[in-house]
Amino acid sequence: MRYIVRVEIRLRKDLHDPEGAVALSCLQDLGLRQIRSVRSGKVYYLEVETNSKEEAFKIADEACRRLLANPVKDEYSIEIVSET
Amino acid sequence: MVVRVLIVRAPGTNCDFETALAFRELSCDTSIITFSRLIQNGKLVHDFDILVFPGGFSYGDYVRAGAVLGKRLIARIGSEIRDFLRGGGLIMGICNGFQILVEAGLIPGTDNIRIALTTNISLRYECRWTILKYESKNSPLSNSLKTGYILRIPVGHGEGRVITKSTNDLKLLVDNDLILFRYVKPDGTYAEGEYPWNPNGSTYDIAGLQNVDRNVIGMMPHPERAFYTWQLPDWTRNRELVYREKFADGYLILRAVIQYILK
Repeated sequence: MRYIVRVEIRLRKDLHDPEGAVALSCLQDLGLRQIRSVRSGKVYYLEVETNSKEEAFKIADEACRRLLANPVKDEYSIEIVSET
Repeated sequence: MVVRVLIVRAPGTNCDFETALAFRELSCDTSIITFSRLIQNGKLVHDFDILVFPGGFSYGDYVRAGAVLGKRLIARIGSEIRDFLRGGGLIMGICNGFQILVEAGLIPGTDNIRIALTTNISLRYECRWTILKYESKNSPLSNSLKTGYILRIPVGHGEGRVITKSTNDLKLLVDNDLILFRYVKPDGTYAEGEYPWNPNGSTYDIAGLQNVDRNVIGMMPHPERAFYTWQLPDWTRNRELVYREKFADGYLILRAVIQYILK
């Protein structure tokens, strides 16, 4: 089976996110004053060939722990988007 | 004895040439090698005394600055690197090289202290002169630099803010004497996060660190860019200095690295 796994990496909530802060101030300049905060992140789509959803999830989790996310500053979430 | 220096060039490295020039000026036998060649034959490191990861944007800073090279280094030739260090070798990382060593886990060299380098508070690429205070009492640089020595060295980076996972991690950095340099103001007092003296918002004004075994050092500022007095920003106002002294503060740092091997 082939799974498309969506991995989202975000800076930990308690850390200052300069990119989000700059986007927020710009959005407020654009008149979108209802937006109270912005946090930035990064998304990766992994195509994983394996036997089960659980296994695909496990592999993506390892990818996050070993490279895509830095446990000191990032948090991440994993979602199986599709399987073929 | 001639000190042998290996400078590792990866796709996106851009400070390899001037770093090599600086080490050659210090009479080192200096080679530049591509990272792909190094990981094909990790035993190459044993022909050298110092391994240097220079500044730049290795692998385009994709994923995180230094992450790809740092993780690949350990995955492919981690055991050779450990043998190299055990055999008395020294690893130095400058700017992107520092980021690589932190991502590789070589700095601080223990899982108990959790640090990372992340985006500058200013969200800008900070290219400016900084003033550093040498902090450590026992590091590879201690042969030549006295604790409290003030140096002028420039930075040029977008992701140089040192953060620790918790305040306890910072305490461990301090208690274990792992902090090499801190950013200070012109009067020599600590920047305490104040911009532009602390250019990136780094925790505790940290500009450079070493590992627990005191044989891996990393710093965001570029000693090779403050090597000669004519590289100083005020050299036209200080022409006498340029005529009198050939070398500036960056020279002292690289010379200290060489002295560590020669000691």
